[in-house]
Amino acid sequence: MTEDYLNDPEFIIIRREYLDDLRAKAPENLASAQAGNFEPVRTFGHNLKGNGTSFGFQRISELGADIEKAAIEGAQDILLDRLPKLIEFLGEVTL
Amino acid sequence: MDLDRPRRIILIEDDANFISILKYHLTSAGFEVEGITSDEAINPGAGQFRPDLVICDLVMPVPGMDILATIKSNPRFRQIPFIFVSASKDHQDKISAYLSGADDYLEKPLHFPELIAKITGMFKRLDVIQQDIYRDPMTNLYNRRFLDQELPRQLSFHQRHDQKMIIGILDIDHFKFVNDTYGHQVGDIILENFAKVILETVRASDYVIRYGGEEIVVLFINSEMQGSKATLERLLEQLANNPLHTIADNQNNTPIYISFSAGLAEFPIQGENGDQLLKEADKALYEAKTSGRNQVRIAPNP
Repeated sequence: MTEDYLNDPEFIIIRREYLDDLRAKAPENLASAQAGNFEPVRTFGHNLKGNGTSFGFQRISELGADIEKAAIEGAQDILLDRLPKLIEFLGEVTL
Repeated sequence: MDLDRPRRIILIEDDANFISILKYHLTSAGFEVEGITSDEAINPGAGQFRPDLVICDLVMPVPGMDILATIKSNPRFRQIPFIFVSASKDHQDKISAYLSGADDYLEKPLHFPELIAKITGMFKRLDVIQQDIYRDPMTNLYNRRFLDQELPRQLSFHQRHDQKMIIGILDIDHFKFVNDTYGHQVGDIILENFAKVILETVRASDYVIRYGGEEIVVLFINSEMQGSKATLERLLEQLANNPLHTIADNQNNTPIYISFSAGLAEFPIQGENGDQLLKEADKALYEAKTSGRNQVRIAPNP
């Protein structure tokens, strides 16, 4: 796959906005998971799975797939592991 | 519907991030793109955007399958190609999508060069089909089928934006004489050249349509009556000074000059629908013909 676009300055702005959006949403979803409200977490995970790689973040897609699956299965322990990992990744990644 | 304009794509997606990445790629490839939410899409009649392609997520608060069903049940939109994108790899989802009328189903994460190639190929096929359907093969002008589809849209657009539109019907004077005297092949050349001269004279935003035989309809978009009349009178003057064809034989060259008669009607003053306007323009054309031809007449106000 040609991924030259990932370093296009215009696209880097879009990638930064994506990360900022996730930095805002991830803690909200962690709170939902802690409260046992899995449906919004499922949607969140589904979108992460679909979009992460497109923005150049394979790790986000992988975590998203785990989060979606765990939300569907009601596996709160997995959610409480993966969502903090996502938050950690978002805290570390820079562009 | 303008067959020469950039293709328009509508993205139906509730995730703003996905819209932004698709917009980036598709606009870079030269497409016009608009993103809307599933809530907006479920009522497609409400929007003014007329897409050439819909790209829709499958899993949203308003399910993509419901949006597909709504679009396919609307006569205005059902011909528009529809592509689903989804992170779901479930074969049953794909089967349901295809059986419900989706043209394609692409899995996320998308491979963008592949997506753009697929869309480009789809539009190339659509171009060929639309050229066949909406163009007159001899003159390459739009044809009557195009007029039947486009005129109501234009009138609706002009009404919404409180704009005027002028409809002109042009008829080549004594065209039967040209055909009878010089033959139909020459008549065809005259028609082709007449079409070219009209296209060079009107604005790019106007529509020129072969209405029938030697009759041409011009839709003067967002125009005033006097300006449209002046345009056609300039065209008459040009044709009076420049032959549309020259027949060369052994002895000499015979230039063929033509003139035309035209009738004009204005939306919304002289009609609120296409049939009324064409009827009024046709009456004015008849007046031009019976008053000596080679002139432009305006339909009287009701």
